[in-house]
Amino acid sequence: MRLQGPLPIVRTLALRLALFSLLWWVLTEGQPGSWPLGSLFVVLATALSLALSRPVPWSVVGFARFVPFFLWWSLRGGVDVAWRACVPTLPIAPGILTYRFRLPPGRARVFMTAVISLLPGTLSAEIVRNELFVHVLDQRASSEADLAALEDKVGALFRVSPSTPQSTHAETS
Amino acid sequence: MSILDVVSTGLLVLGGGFFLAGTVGLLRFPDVYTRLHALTKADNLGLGLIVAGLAVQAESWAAAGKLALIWLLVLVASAFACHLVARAALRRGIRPWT
Repeated sequence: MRLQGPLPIVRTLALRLALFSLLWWVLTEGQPGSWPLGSLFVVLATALSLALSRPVPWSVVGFARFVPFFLWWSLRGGVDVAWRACVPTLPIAPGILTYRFRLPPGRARVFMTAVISLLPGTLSAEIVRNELFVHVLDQRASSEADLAALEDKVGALFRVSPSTPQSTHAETS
Repeated sequence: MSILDVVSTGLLVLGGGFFLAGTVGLLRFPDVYTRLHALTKADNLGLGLIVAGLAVQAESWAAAGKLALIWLLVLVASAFACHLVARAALRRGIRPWT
């Protein structure tokens, strides 16, 4: 794939210009008269974003795979917790689970920590060094396997390989 | 009623149902951590369905995009707020209910 290697600044610039243009278009609901001012702010916002944050390596394929995964798991998460809340017997068995990160520190970890709270039965509570304390709603569910699956997906999205050898293979696809 | 209206109504009612279930969870669950589960996950889905229901009726693609943007911003805010509340509770020594 041509996305390999260090991310060229030109691509990042083009991507951010496109994103901010899209944002302006959405916010003004496509009024043509807003563009003289809008293009100025798009350029300013792009310059500011480049000053504040360096290019982030990410994978288009990883993103395309992550979005349906996230939507499906959000749906499952919402249905699961709604069901548990409404059943008279209140079927929960909460507890804290310690999960050892395979992802390196940085954006990918922060992203994963945030996403965990939106997935079925898990809630990220605390990070100590390489360990994540996850509150689970039901200890009988296989949360650890879910977390590992999520970690692989997030790794593929940010183009970093989780450190265990067997997952690096799935990374390159 | 057109088909669009039916789809839209269905999504809105379903979304409202998830908000209701989230609130039931907030009232019935035993501690701060389990209540966070109910709020973040049920409301995330509820708002997503309401946004989808409204987007079906939107007058333009840009208006639908604006609704999607609202959902995205709420998702980001709720994920981080949830983590921060849980972390603060743990650091204050609130033991999870078991």
